[in-house]
Amino acid sequence: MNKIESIILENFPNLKSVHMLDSNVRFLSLQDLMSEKATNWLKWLDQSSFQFTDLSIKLTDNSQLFVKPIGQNHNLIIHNEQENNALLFKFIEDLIAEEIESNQNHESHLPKEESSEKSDLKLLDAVRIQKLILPKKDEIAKEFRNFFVVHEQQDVVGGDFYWYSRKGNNTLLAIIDCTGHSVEGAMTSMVCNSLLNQSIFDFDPQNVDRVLINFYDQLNKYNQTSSDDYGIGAEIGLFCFNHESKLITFCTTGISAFIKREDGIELLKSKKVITYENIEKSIAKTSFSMKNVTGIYGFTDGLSDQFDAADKKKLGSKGILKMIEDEQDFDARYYLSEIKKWKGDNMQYDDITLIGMAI
Amino acid sequence: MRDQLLSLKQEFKVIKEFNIYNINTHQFEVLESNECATLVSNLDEMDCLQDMSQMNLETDNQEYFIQRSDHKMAVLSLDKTKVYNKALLHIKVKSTLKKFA
Repeated sequence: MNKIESIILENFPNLKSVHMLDSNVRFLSLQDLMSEKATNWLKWLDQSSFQFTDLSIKLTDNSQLFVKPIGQNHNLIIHNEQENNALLFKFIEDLIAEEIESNQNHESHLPKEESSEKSDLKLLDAVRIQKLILPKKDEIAKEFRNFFVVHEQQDVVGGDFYWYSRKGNNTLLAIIDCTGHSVEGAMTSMVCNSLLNQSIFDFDPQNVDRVLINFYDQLNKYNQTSSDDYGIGAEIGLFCFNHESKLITFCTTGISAFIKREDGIELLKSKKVITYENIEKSIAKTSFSMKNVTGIYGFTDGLSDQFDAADKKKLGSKGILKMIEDEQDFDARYYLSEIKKWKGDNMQYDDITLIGMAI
Repeated sequence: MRDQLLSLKQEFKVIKEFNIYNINTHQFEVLESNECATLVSNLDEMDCLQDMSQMNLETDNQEYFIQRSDHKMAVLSLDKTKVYNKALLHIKVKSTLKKFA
């Protein structure tokens, strides 16, 4: 087996097939190893003079065919049904770039290869675009006595983001944890950001949960357009600060929050079962006075589910509570350093977002 | 139909061409230029269209996206230099195509 074939299969063991073909070998020779639906495409690949750099075909049996010419002399062809396509694409792109770079350095000691640079540039573009949806921290900070955000993606891009809007006398601030992380999560976050912006069109401070109902209604519509079972999802924690009535409303579908008062700290949790089809009953909604509230801390489950350095124990809400109780400085630096202390050299398992607001 | 295609093109500046191909009649119902015609007729001749639901093809300077519904296909040529929300474009093309079915 070719080295690239075996690396791909090691990382994506559920692929139907992976082949690195010499360019003088016909694609149709793979006919018996692939589904019948791929046969005509293999014939087309043999006869076509189309000079493509990447080709991906979703077949009617829901499997996916990827073809990528590698250098002048090889074609990589992958048949996938179960693995995550976005992760697979990214992995292959990086792997091919690394492989070409290592071959070139080995043969001629050339500097960094062009396709690797291209891949890095694409990644930088993705990071830049995802940052565009994040509101400016300075703008949010004006709304509170103090404010901080810890936003640590597991990969360069991810599925966690935070969102802010002002509606009359109301400050709206949300934490969103989209399904998946890395590229999959990032793409979902772009859709969810648009949906959230559209969901406040009929904002009513008496019915803050209407924003989430609007959001999930639209999300359901998007998911219904898909012919396969794949859909996107997100957990949202939405805070509404009404500066007229001095009331804070928190609506959540999976995001938890600690409310720090002069006499203690309370944990606000979401309901255990969230069903998009019956979203009105799945939203946990709480309203309370701003009086005596000194701080609010909202966080995604990436933080509470983070394992310690020994990889044995999750931080949990108790661990976050301890950080808040021991708080030395109300800023991102303190919390980031506490999270790093907890995690040690262990890997980060998911995207992490923690937002603190001092009232 | 053309109004809806125009509005989608206005929303997604990345779309250079939005063509509609009828798989039953083997004819384009909307054809903005011959750029995509050769590719599609070639795929149709090889009976590839029956077995696909979606296709992305990239060349050095061009990108093509094909989305199939029952009998019709949206054939888009995209400007590779522009950044866009791929997932959103795919969803919107799919729902637009359903309206034409």
